[in-house]
Amino acid sequence: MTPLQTAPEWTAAAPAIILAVTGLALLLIDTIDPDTSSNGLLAGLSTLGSLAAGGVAGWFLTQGTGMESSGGAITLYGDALVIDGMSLFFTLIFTSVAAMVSVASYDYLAGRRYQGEFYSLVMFAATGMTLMAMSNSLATVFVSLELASLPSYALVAFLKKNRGSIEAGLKYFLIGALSSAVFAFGISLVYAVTGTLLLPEIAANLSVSSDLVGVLGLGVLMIAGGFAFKTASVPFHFWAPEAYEGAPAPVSAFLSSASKAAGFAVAFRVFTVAFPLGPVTSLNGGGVDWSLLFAVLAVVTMTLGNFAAATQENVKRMLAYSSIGHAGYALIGLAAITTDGGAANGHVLGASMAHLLVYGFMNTGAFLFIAMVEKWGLGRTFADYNGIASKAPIAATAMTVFMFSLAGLPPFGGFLSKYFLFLSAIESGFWWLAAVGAVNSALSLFYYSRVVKAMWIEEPSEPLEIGSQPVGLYVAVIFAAVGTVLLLPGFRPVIETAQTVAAALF
Amino acid sequence: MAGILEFAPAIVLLPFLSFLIALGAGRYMPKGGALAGIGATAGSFALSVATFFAVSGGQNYNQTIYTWAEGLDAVNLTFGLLIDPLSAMMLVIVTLVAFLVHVFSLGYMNDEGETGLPRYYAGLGLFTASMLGFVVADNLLMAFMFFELVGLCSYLLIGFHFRQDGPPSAAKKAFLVTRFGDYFFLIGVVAVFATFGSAAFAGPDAFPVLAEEALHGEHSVNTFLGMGEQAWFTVVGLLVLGGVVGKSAQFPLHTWLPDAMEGPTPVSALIHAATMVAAGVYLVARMYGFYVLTPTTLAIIALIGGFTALFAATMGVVKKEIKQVLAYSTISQYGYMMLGLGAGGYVAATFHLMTHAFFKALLFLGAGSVIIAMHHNEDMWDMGGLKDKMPVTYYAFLSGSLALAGIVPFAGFWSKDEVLYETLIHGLGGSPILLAAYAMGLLAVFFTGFYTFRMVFLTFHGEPRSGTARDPHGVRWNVKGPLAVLGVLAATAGLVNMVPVEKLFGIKGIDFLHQFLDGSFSSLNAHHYAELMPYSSGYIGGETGTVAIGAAVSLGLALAGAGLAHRLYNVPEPVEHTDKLGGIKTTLYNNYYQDEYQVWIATGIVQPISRALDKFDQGIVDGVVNGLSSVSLFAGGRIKRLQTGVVSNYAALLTLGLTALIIGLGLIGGWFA
Repeated sequence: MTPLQTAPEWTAAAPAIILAVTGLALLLIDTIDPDTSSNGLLAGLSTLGSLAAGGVAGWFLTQGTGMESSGGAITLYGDALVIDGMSLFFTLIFTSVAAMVSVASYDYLAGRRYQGEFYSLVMFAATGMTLMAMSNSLATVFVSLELASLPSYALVAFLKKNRGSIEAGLKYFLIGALSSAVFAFGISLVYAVTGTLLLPEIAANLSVSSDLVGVLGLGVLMIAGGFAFKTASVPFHFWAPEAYEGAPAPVSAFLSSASKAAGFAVAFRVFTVAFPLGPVTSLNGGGVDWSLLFAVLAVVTMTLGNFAAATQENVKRMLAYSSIGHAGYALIGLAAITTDGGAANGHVLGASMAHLLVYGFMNTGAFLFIAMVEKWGLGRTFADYNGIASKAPIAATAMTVFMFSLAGLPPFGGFLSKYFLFLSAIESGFWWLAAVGAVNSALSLFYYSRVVKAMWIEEPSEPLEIGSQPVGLYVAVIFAAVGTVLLLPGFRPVIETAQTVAAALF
Repeated sequence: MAGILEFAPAIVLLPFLSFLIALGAGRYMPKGGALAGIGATAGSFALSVATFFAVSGGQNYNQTIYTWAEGLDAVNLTFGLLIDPLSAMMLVIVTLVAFLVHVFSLGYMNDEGETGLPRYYAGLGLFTASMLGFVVADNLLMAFMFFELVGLCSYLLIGFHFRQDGPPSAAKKAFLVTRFGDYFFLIGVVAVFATFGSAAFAGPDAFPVLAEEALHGEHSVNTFLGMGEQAWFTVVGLLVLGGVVGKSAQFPLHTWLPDAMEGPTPVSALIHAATMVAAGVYLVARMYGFYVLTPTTLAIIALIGGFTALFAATMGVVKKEIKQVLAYSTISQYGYMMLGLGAGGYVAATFHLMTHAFFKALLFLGAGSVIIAMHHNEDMWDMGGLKDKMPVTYYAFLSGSLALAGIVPFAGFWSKDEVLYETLIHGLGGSPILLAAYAMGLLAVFFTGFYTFRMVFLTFHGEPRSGTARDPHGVRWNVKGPLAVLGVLAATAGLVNMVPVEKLFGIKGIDFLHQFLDGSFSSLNAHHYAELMPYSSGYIGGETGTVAIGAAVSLGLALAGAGLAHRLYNVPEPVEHTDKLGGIKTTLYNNYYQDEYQVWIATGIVQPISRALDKFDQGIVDGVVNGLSSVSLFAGGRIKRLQTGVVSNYAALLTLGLTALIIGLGLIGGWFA
């Protein structure tokens, strides 16, 4: 008997509530003392809030809240929200990224105005992401997605005096608006066909007459488009390189790790719960083979991301494209689902989730390292990174860990997560997807190792000057690096949890 | 069966521990880590002796210690220990020699003020541990792994003085030449696994036993290349033999050994007497049950052995440096062991392995003592008259020389005579190849006697021929002690298996070693091997007569060689007589141009092939790879252009992309029907 079973049901949404309350508290502090210079308080509070939410999610996960062992998923508010293993797992990703970003922002934002707004926006975005992972109805999906997106637009444009930041924010917003429109249109079409917004009920009402199959298909595809925007997948990826490059680096870290994971969380749930592959591919007079759709998107996305990353001269932009490439890998989780997959479906989806968790650490760490370089006032290109290792060996070691882990080399977490992802894709019979993924990984090693080479081997053209040793950034980067390394030996519980909670969706 | 044999792993682990200690903490310890090595080898020696007696009492031990790869197509890869009389005997030899070498090194290395001692003692420790691991290995793969470790250690130790020119090059040569043989060995190991599914030496799955059953049609095995079982076993045996020929410095892979003299002399003693070189012959003895099934392989082993014995002995005749003479004598003596194994004389060869270990370690340590005395001048023509200055060294060295030359009753006589006797009777039993090998071996006896005593006379007798020889550097107890121990052993070790005495005088039961080796597992004992052997015996004038004739001829030849050396070199002022050899002299000095032709093979044949392959690699393989990456970069550049930075372009592309997806998926899904 766990104490949770006697607690009121709404407490199951505690992670989201904690994040929202933290965001409000930050606003409150900001209202009382708008010109506060106590950055430490704000950063500390938002870190604490993220950690508390993450801690609760982790505790729930170990206690089995919303999982088979304690009576199955908990639904709230007329089934609009669902708390199960998957939502908790993703909450863990969002909160750990939010915590790292908050710690790192302590230094990044030092001396800037509007700090209170910054942290509360991060918290609200995190709340939105958590709700995305919990959404059980297309209405909550849309609302939470907007709740995550709107603060993100503001965060990207946070450097108000910086033209790049403003431009990136505007582009992000415009593409986001277009995508939201497509998404909302898709939802309306699905509602028109099935007469409901609740995901399980959509699945129950799929047996439509043959002349409505096209409408349903259009709706499903447009919904997929909304998710493709959030996950930065082709063809909705155009905002990503610009937004990631122009945004403050901690925000890029937040968007490319947490926001992307949120997009996957909701996509996984909507497609496996509302549109089970078996029924939707064998409708009257047609079908909607979204597995094929995602297979195509996965291949195109990972290939485009990696090819474009290979030609970049700007490290941050390279990471932005690599982030698109990783979205392609994660899409394998949906692409490799088959109608008669059984346990293999859960395996590949779980492997994709585990990869997103590891990715949350290594990619956040990489962007935070860039934040550190920006803080030092060094340039943005590969050549500007020359010789950093001689001045900041610890940070450079951490960055090396991130790069090799992103490339999927042992002995780092990224190796195992990618390995399991490709392995379970092969298990599902999608060996060609795994092969494309492996070829892309090999290509990615080229541009990741360029960073390592620049840092450790190349000589700087002029003497490097590194001013401060930003404590918060160091802590966050080292935390991410330790996480990346520890996720290799500790990968077994992660993958087992992920595959168990993923299997519960089918 | 619990008892002392349960401690057998400690025999291997103790020297390994001393390796770790010397490596990690050697520089903080007195004597540079020597004491740890001495303690460890002494402990191993004590355990080995205890093991030896336990095995004499009829105990054997065959245990898998650790399975490190399981169930790969029903093949398990394991580490395990096999303690039977053969390995017990070898354990005693290796630990004893290693212990004495450690003690001797105190005098040779520490007292001479060498630097890098922790590295040296770490190397010795690992070397000893590797060899011991090889000796107790219970399967071929484990044996191979330790075989390679032995090779690595010899590389490290031969190249100990890495700042000079010679040692690193000699170390590389030793490593590469033995590696050439090891390639074949490795293929052989794989072949054994592929054929039998097991590489154990003993037990129910022992591959020699499986091979025997296969030849009797009681068990089916996988053969390859469309060969029958007999032919395939011969191929496998020859593949493994590649490693043996390399390690035991048999023709034509013997060329590394004389160069290996660049290593410190105690290392040479270890390499030649107990470890590296002995490993090859020991391996043949270990899997003798397999070799004995294939007459072709046996004949090849015997021929290689006989030829090497003679060939190396002739080269030893003209050398100037004392260690060079010993190096060629080593090659030659291992030739005898191979001859013995090839001729079906398992006990004889093992016997010679043992006696040789003692007297060759003695000779090297004696030479080391002389080298200390001569301030590291190794040229025998600068020596002379040392016998009065260093009597302990002289008498010990003399004992070793008498053993090497095969003069009764020193150890070498008994074992060498038995090797030749076995070859002779099996040759007479209808095997002309063995007779030819016997003839070569017999002739080599003469040369052995000659070069051995040429060395003794030039070094110790006559008048001193240089200032250092007149006033040699003294040596301490740590040099004399090991020499004394080995000197006694070289004189007496032969008494453990006095077959000629047994045969001539009809005294039963004094072939102790033979009885001892018979005490092994039924598939591993000498008796079993004798039953399987493809040879029959023939005699001249009955068994007794043959024994007497064989012993008399070989002793006579040895004495003749020694006598000739006495005539030529045991004079107050010896001169070089090599000019009398005419053209042969140059050939001998150049070691029959063995190095030259091997270098020619390397540069004349291998290098052009490598160049061609390199062209292929650079041109075609790299070309494809480079081409792919240029295509990737080009495509990446194109994709980059899509990202124009203009939002309306993005919106258009996004919509177009969505439309394309809708059309594609709609056509497949039949939405437009």
